[in-house]
Amino acid sequence: MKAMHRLMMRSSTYRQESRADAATLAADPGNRLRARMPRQRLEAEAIRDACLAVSGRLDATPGGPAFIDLMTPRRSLYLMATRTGAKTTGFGALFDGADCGAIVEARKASTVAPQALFLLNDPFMLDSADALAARIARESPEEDPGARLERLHGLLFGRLPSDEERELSRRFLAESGSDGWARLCHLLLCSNELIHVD
Amino acid sequence: MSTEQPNESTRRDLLRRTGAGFGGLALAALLQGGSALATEAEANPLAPRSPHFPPRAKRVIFLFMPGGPSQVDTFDPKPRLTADDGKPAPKAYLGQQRTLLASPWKFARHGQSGIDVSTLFPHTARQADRLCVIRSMVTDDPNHPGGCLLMNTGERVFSRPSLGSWVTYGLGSENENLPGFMAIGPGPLIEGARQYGASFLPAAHQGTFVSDLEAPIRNLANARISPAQQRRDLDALARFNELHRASRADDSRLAARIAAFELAYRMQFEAPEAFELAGETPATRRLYGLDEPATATFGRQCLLARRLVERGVRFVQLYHTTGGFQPWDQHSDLKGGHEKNALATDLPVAGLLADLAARGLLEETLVIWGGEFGRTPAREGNADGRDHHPYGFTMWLAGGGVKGGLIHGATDDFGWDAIEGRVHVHDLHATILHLVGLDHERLTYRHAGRDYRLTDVSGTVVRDILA
Repeated sequence: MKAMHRLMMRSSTYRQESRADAATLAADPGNRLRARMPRQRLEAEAIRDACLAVSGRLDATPGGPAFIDLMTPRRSLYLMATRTGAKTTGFGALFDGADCGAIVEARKASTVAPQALFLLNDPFMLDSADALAARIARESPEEDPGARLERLHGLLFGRLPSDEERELSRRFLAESGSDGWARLCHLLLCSNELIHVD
Repeated sequence: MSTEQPNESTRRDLLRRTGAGFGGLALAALLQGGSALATEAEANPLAPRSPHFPPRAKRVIFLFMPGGPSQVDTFDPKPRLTADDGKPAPKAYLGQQRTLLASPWKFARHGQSGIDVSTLFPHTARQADRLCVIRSMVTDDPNHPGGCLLMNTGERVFSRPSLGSWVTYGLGSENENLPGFMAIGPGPLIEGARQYGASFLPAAHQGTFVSDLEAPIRNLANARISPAQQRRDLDALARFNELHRASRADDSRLAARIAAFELAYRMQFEAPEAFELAGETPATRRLYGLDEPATATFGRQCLLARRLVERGVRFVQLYHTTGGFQPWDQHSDLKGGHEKNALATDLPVAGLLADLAARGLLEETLVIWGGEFGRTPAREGNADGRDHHPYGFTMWLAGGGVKGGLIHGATDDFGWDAIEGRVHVHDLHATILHLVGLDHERLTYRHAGRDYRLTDVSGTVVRDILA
């Protein structure tokens, strides 16, 4: 089985990215011919861990007891989940985490409004945005917003901001008050790019 | 091999539903390798769907009475039980010989139909002609966890989708700005989330559980910024997302997620309105007993149920959990306990029936009342209470598609075994699905290699109670 997995995962087909040029899309619109990798949405645990990691708060200590409070900065692997749902936050189920009492062979990846409500309003997200903004301020000089922006995009997306993104951010910050950076960080934590893998 | 093209079909769905609501944007991911087809249901699990045949009810309110209300003290009078008070019960229970316990309440016939109701429920009694009383319910599990799971999911051991989840899976939701299935109870539930869970059905079908009646849906407001500020943030977010999407236009899920944020923004204003009772008249407040301490909590639950079905929520389950998570479980102090529970629920339940009828909603709303089982006609040991009883108990239905003023089935002279017109929980489920226009044998979901249904391999629609 492992040998088969290795063979499949090392194939050039498997290692493709999700973006495709117009010709590929026209030739294989439904991806029946495996002309590209289906775009992956991060799982519930990875979404939360990503927010903790980019904001510099992730406690990666392995092992130990499960935690109940979503604000605890430990890896989501250790977030309490019980068969009956007692002492379980709704976070996992919100992002299609598996029912602990059921046999689930594959998780789905739904897109529903309550997920957006969590990302927009939950204290966990607000705190993550604050911590991310503080980290950026700490790690890049205040007088150079361009460098801060590059650090932010590097942390979140592993790339430099485009010219359009620089301009968008500049205008957003100019129109914002003292919490501008925290709010910019917050909305980029909500962005499609953060939770989808090409 | 099918020639259907998943991305194409989800994009078409999305275009058709631009601006669609709550679950309307739920787009299932293509499974790894892209072999799964994005069917209509996967693309939008809560979109309204046609039933199998014309429904008699469009919405369901299940008034769940955890703990097990006693049949012989509520809707199933037994003169023989009164006469034989203190004599040995006709059967052993758990291998023990127990003695019969007469009901401390009197019964009278009510309405044109002459339905028997005990003095525990004076207000419900006035709605007698709307009730379809099933005196011959039977279940398989004499314990609370399994009994509750069987009643709410059709299975007492394994994780299975709940009744409300199956109904929204079958029919979708009429109001996309509210959840399709809401479970409301102020206390914790035995077996917790499994009672309203979606199990292997798509997660969008799980019940939204409301335990805090003042703050029903989480994260509906931002603690830091005003709606106007949030509007500006969302506009900027949309621009960032559009830049990202420009080179990925083939993936409709990215657009769906952009729209989900817009919908979430609107929900922040629309959802609280459904839970805001300030606009209700003093007469309505009295009808539900909102201003009396004894009835305030369940009255509020009942009024919320009416407001939610009025707004197109498909399935509302109310858990009577004031005074504990299974308040009807009177192993002792039957009189005090049942009186307290009846006081808390009788007026609100009757108010709900009257209000639904007055607003023309009852015809299309199925109301169900009952617990996970009944109680033994015999006394439990030397205590002044009754034990769990799965062999014959009472539930009632009212509204959409059932005959009002009807008594279906019967238990024996002591209220022990259901002997006529037995209705197993699976039969009740088949009947509920039938009333909302779904064939319980055709409402299936393929999971782990086979098709599952709510009624497993059982269930017969109880045709005698259909209007």
